[in-house]
Amino acid sequence: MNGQVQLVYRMLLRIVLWLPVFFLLWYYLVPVISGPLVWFSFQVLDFLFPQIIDRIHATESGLYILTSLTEGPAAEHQLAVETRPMRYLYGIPLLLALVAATPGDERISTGLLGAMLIFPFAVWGVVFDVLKSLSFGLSEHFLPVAGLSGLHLEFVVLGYQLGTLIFPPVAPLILWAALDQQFFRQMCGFPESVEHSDAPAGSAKSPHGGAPGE
Amino acid sequence: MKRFIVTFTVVLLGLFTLELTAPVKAHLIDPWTGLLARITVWIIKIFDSQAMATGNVIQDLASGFGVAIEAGCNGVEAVIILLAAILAFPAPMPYRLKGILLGMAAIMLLNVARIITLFYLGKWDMAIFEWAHLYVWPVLIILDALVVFMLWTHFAPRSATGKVSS
Repeated sequence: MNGQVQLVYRMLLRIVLWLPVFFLLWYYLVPVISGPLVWFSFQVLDFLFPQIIDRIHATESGLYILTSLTEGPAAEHQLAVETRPMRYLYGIPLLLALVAATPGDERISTGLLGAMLIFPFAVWGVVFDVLKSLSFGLSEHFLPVAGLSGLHLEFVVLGYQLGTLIFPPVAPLILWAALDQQFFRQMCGFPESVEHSDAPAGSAKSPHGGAPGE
Repeated sequence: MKRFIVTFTVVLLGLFTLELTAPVKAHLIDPWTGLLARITVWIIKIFDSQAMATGNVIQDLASGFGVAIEAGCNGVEAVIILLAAILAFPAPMPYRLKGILLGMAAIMLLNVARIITLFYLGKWDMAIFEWAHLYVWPVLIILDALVVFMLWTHFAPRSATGKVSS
């Protein structure tokens, strides 16, 4: 088998071996890491639409938005968003598995940096999730106060879909490619790396990244 | 590399926005999702005669349990991501087309496996279904796209200097 192809398969094997480890770690850390996610999301929403959202509260079953938009008993002030912060953070175990499977130094610091850089994408997801819920769930109260209409709503839908369907799986790949750029170039045989390499494509340096059980 | 990143981002956002438009959804995405449901049921029926497909819903006749194939579950987003990466990478157009077709097949094959496993996981345990549906399978599908892309780039035609010819 072509050496480079073996390199890809070995990389895949290491990723698949690391994934359960990081998924387990992530599962137990979610209550901790979803705190900053909800806090940052609230700050962004409060900046964009001051005094509309009083608080965002995360529980295991989902996000709860406390808003002053409606009047009445306390329960009516609450808008439940049917989503979990985990849905926007599952890129973290993938990113950590990619980083751990990549040969090189400073794996822990690279992994931690990558995990932190996932947060802006996750904040995007939560912010647009909340905006979608307010725009379509409390439209008669929210839209006039927020000054949103027509094209804004289209943008809210696009932002929500991007934050839900595209960013969670793509962000870890982009961040990994950026943080381990040299290895990514080698793995993908980018023209620049091929041009400057003296070695033929099939004799690329083997990765040394460890994996559980390897 | 910069050109790759810019082209990838532009094509990804463009195709994804296009996917969300009403005509593309009505004439391409919805029929594809229905076809995917029927293909999946056809495979399930080989070993389980209790399954049936109605539109984008796969249902178990015995228990009444059903799964709906929605956006994000039909593999279209993963195909769009792979398509954007292939179009952004410098390679001859016929080779790109081969990559797109083979990549689509690889993603769709794994996606059918995803739907079948989710159908049975849902009948068995909803908590495990949720986990597999929301977190595990999306990661495996995107890994599939990444591996297809890496393998495709390695077989890209190169000139005598080792440069990928575009």
